[in-house]
Amino acid sequence: MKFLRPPVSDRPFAIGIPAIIWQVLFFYIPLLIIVLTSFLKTTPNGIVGITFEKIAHFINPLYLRVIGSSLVLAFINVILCFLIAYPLAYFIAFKGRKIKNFLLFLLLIPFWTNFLLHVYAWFYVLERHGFLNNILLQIGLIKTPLILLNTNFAIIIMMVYYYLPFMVLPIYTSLERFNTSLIEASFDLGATWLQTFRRIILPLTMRGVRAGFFLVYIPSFGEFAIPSLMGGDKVMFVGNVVSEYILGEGTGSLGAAFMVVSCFVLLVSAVFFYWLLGRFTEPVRDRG
Amino acid sequence: MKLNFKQYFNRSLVVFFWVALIFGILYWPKGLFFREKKSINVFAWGDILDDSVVAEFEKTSGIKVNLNFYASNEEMIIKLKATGGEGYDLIVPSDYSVEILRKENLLKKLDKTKLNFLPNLNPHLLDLFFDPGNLYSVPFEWELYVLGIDKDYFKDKPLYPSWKMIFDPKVIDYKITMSNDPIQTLTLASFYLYGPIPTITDPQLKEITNLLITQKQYVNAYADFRADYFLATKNSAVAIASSSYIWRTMRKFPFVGYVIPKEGTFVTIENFCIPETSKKEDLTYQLMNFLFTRDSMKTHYDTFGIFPSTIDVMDDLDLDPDARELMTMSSPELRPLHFARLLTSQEKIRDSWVQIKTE
Amino acid sequence: MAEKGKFNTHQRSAIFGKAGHLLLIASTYLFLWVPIVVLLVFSFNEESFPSPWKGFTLQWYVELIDSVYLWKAFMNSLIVALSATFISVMMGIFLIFFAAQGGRVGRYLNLFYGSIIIPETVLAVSLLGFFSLISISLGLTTLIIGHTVLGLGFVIPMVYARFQDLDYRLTEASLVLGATPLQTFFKVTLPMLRPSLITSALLVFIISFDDFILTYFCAGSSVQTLSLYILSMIRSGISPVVNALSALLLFMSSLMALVYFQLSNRSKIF
Repeated sequence: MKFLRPPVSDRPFAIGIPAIIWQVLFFYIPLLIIVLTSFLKTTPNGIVGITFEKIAHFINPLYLRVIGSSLVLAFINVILCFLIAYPLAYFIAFKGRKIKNFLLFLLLIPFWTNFLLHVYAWFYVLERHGFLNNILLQIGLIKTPLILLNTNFAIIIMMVYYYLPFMVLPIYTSLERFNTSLIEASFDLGATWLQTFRRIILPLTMRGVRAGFFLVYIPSFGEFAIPSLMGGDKVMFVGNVVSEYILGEGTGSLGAAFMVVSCFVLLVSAVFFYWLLGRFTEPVRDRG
Repeated sequence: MKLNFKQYFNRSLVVFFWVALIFGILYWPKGLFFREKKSINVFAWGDILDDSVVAEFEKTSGIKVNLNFYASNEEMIIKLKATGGEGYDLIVPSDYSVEILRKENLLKKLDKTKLNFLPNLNPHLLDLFFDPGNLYSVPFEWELYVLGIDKDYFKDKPLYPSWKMIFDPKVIDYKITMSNDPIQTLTLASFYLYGPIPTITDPQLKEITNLLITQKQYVNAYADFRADYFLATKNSAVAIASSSYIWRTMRKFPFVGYVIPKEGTFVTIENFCIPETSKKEDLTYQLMNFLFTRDSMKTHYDTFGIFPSTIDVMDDLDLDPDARELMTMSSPELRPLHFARLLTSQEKIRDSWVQIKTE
Repeated sequence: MAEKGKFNTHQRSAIFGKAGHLLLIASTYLFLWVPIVVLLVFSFNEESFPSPWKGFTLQWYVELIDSVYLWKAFMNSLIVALSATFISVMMGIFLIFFAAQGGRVGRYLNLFYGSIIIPETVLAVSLLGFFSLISISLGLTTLIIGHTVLGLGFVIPMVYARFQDLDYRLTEASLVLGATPLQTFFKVTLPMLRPSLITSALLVFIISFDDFILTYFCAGSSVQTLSLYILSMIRSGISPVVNALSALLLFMSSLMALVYFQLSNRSKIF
């Protein structure tokens, strides 16, 4: 940003600073406090000392399994979303033409509807006497209704359903700006579609893919409402454990400690994936 | 651009100004208290006070009632402790909460002369462990844990009025819906294994946890509020639920029934209390008197299915003899009354809970 | 620049061929819309779930309008969303003002990406702890604060990115022609930013209005918002009133999506 002229007074600073203050005050400081409480030993009389007890409490197979489930859930969600989102974004960006806007519109409306209503809608579809079972029974594919709700299957379906637009939009944005002459050139030079995709399209859209990855991966990890409502509360993920501890009496700081541990694992995995995806960013160069 | 000291100083002042402004706005509502002449703040469960009854009270008495809700006793206790009871004129704690609040001196002694419904109260609900002599609380409604059942399913299958139905693998060959509250579930499991003991040891906790893990394969879902829904949709044959839910479901779906375990079950009594710091108890007494009238009690029963604490209203309700016996607390299964309590530390309970769900 | 979509596709495209691609897209949209359509259809059903279709009725919509607590929840959600949107957008504008006058905003910008790295649950729990630490009772205020934080995470990156893309020669020209920095900001910079301001405002509004996790933790229970209200209804079973509500909200979302659309497309021209 070019300097227009040196500021004559500091009035702009006074005006511009609230955003930053707000962010620090209500985002970073609370986070810091939460992290600190996991390490502080408190008695009714106040802070007594530093302890690693709370953190250590959660470094055991049971809780690591919970964190593991969350990681797996988030990862599966991302993969499924990607597999569905990329073709979709590709289609809208390149093959859409006249109905492109309409397709985007159709995609956005569910995205902008209250998430709980989505859950509610899927109850209707997946219930024993729900829409899906009724259809399958009618066409004779099954004899007795399938139990679809309160299963892991239902959880995954809902997760993908909810997070799909988050993956589609960044990829679409990337594809939209794509310089199609590159694709044309690639074809002219004799590459197959698969080669073109792997070496040209995918690397150059990696920024969008990465954005989509994180927009889905990070929140999926902390998700607890979907497993609770769609899964019958039969499995506990990080979010469930955290809310269980936080909303219980006297166990609040334990909840904070567990959250710190989980976030640490999450960040490590996120960094790993960030690096992994970065490896696909450069167009694969032909060796020799 | 390098800032000299003066600029740093100025900028710090600006930051300080904004922070002070933000905090000023944050704390401002606290100073501003709704000193509406005649109004009271009620802090209650979401589904315990009927809107129409409250509205009628407002009309006839001219007193505005502000309803605030909490989802659990713990939440109410935390909030009350945090504010010292400030801001609320009527609260509706469950049995054990009354004891906790009483011990913390957060409750005001009730002036019995101002209450006109005391003779109507069911004596079984009075003078219990949490408030001997009912100095601080009056029972408003109560409910108990029952096993909701799908009568169609059990038409030709054995049905035992016992906790075996949800805990004994030899008996269970159907889907059940369990409570999602760790405290309630552990209490029930403990009761099944050991009877009414006040606390449990660690080995006992392990046994309980194992029992619940074994039970998991038959569990369709863990739900607090939706247990009746699972019965109504025939997803489960048995559901552990509070009587109020089952009652409401029974009205809509005649194939839903209930069974009271003969070993005994747990009751919850919702009481009215006044926080120590409230200054509007005269208005609150008026509300309480209104809520305890026969019409109000009947309306509440019809809407929520919770059992009234008064006896005179029983004639107004259309009850079969079994239900009437139950609701007046005359059933043999309710001797003695059991109350769910914390059997061990919250930490251990939640640990077990996570274990049960993760195995 | 090659025309969009007109590259040579006589090569066998996609893994399953063109028909397969279409099938995939169609089934994806079906997947997205079937639950919604089912929901809408059953909002007119005479009988409540789990009964199958009985007859057409508008009674649930009537019941919806009558429900006092629902409208209270709706109003609360609206108030929070509007406030959060207003505050975050205003702060965004202020920040841009600072940047336009030459302030060094660049490195502070990274602060706002934190919202993306942290799951909302973590933010919610942290705020909850923070609020109880400084003894603020949970309610509308705390909700607005939390939602504004969410909003900032969208507004600032979006608008600042747009701001950086602006043609600085226009502002320079304005200054050269004698306008003060203030006038330049209001008459040149801001109007150019208007589309992205509006789209980010819409985005923040919708995110706040539909928010669940942050609201679940930070609303306390003296404040009922729409999300929490729906949750309590879902928890107690299924009622066609919620279907009717969904229909209404869907209509609202469609309108917003339409507005967003018009604005997004126009801003591409810049």
